[in-house]
Amino acid sequence: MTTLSTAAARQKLASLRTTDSQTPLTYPPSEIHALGTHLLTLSLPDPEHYALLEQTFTAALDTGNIPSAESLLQKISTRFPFDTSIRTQRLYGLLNEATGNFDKAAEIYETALKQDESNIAILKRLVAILVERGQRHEAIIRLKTYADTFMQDTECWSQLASLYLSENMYEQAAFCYEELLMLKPQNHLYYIRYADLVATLGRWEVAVKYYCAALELTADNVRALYGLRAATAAVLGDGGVEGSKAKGVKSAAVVEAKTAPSVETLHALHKLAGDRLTALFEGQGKDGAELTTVVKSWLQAN
Amino acid sequence: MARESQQIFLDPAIRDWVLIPIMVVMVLVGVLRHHITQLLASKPKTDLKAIRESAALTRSRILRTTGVEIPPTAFAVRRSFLSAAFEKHQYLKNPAIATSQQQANPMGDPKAMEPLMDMMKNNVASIVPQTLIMSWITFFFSGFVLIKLPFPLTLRFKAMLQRGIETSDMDVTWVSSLSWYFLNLFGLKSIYTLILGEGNAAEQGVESMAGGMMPTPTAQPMQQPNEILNMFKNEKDFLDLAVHEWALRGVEERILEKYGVGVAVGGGEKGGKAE
Repeated sequence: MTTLSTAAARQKLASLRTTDSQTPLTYPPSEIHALGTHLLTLSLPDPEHYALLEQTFTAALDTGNIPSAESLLQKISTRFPFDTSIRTQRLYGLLNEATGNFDKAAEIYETALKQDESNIAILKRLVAILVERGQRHEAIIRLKTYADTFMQDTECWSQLASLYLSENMYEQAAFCYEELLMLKPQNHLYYIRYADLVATLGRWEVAVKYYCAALELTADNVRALYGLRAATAAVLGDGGVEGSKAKGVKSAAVVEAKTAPSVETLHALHKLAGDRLTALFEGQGKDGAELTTVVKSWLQAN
Repeated sequence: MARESQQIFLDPAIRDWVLIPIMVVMVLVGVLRHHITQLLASKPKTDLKAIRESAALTRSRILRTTGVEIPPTAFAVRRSFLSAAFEKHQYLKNPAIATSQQQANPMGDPKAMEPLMDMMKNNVASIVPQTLIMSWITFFFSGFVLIKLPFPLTLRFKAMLQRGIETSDMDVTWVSSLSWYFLNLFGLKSIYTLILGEGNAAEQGVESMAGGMMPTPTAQPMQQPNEILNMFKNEKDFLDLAVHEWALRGVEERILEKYGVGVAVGGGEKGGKAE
């Protein structure tokens, strides 16, 4: 905190405020709290001051500093009263959630929704409460109605996918990842996750394709290489492409599009994944020596 | 030559009691109008069903463009689902308009009235003060000559700069009080931006004055119910015609090519010994 000048601190916190959920939070909340408390003592312009108050408040909640959060929220609600500002209501809900008072928080959110039925932040908090309480089934139902309206919300689809995964509903989770692939076709992580899912479902040919697509976006992605290695081994082990073609059902997608790769291609991919993995781990030098032997023995087995 | 020698001496009191007050009053009225508009403006009410309606169209559009990323079966499922849903008008905000044949009355829906009301409020807030100022100026200062422009102008500017003074002999560079008002009206925009920030109501008031009663481009266009029906119908047609060309077709070969590996390599080898 002392290392940052005031201007730098302001800029840092402002950039953290604007980053969307796609970029991970790289700053520990305790530091945000410290920086925020420091900046709040200065007289900053009103919009920034209140944005900082809100940010410091959530940071306080993240660090479990309830007394500090309460005093900050007090300051916010004198300017933006609870009755008129939905944003303030949401903060009160957050405070209740942090103290474990979920019923009260849900009640606050529900009344807030009566004022503005399309408030995304509030709708998401209601799902978050259900997830937090472990009521996954109810959370899925609620999130489904949310997704029916806000169909372009990637955050909602990935949350829904992870909920389905914890319920072992792989087909549904795969559906969610298909939506994500369409919404963000430039994100290689979705390709890998989707490939993992279809591999779990036994559609190895499709998995091979999506691992390849991920590799196309980011060269030498280790997870994609592992997946490619395992998936090609599985396809080849199935008695080759012809064998699975005969089964018909499994690889319907691939066969239908007449895009099934040749056995030679699969062999080449299999070897390529192994080569790249060994090269990558050997490239780490002495530090990765132990890992390299583990990887090599895995490669032998697969 | 006579024109250049034309000299009028203006009383400094005109500068102190007419020129500057008009400008100050106009700036203050602009600021006041900004705040009044903010008070009058009703919060834009968003309706879950309206969001859903447009999101469905967007989703279909996304499916047609980036749908190439998902497997053909997944694409086919989505296409038939959306197509059937559009056919049955499931995503319409108000499914009744699809069945009723007669032209729906746009004034009937109270929600459709809201943008109209906002527009009216804006116009009232901009026209009332301007009319008041204008009558104030014509009542007290009609026929006043306020300033002389430091550059020569052609005769055509006479109508613009000497409004309210009916002489044909005076030099064009002299500006009358009413014209000074109009110069201010259209010229204060950047001052408002300086005081009130971007996109303030005072500025928009001027624009709506300039464009008569036309709604500003920021105002949401009134949507006819039939229009949205047509949009869904078109989108359904596009969707039915969409061809799915899987983007991942041949991706295996592309990867091999990227890493510079031939296909024939290791045809029968299965172990993949890497050393």
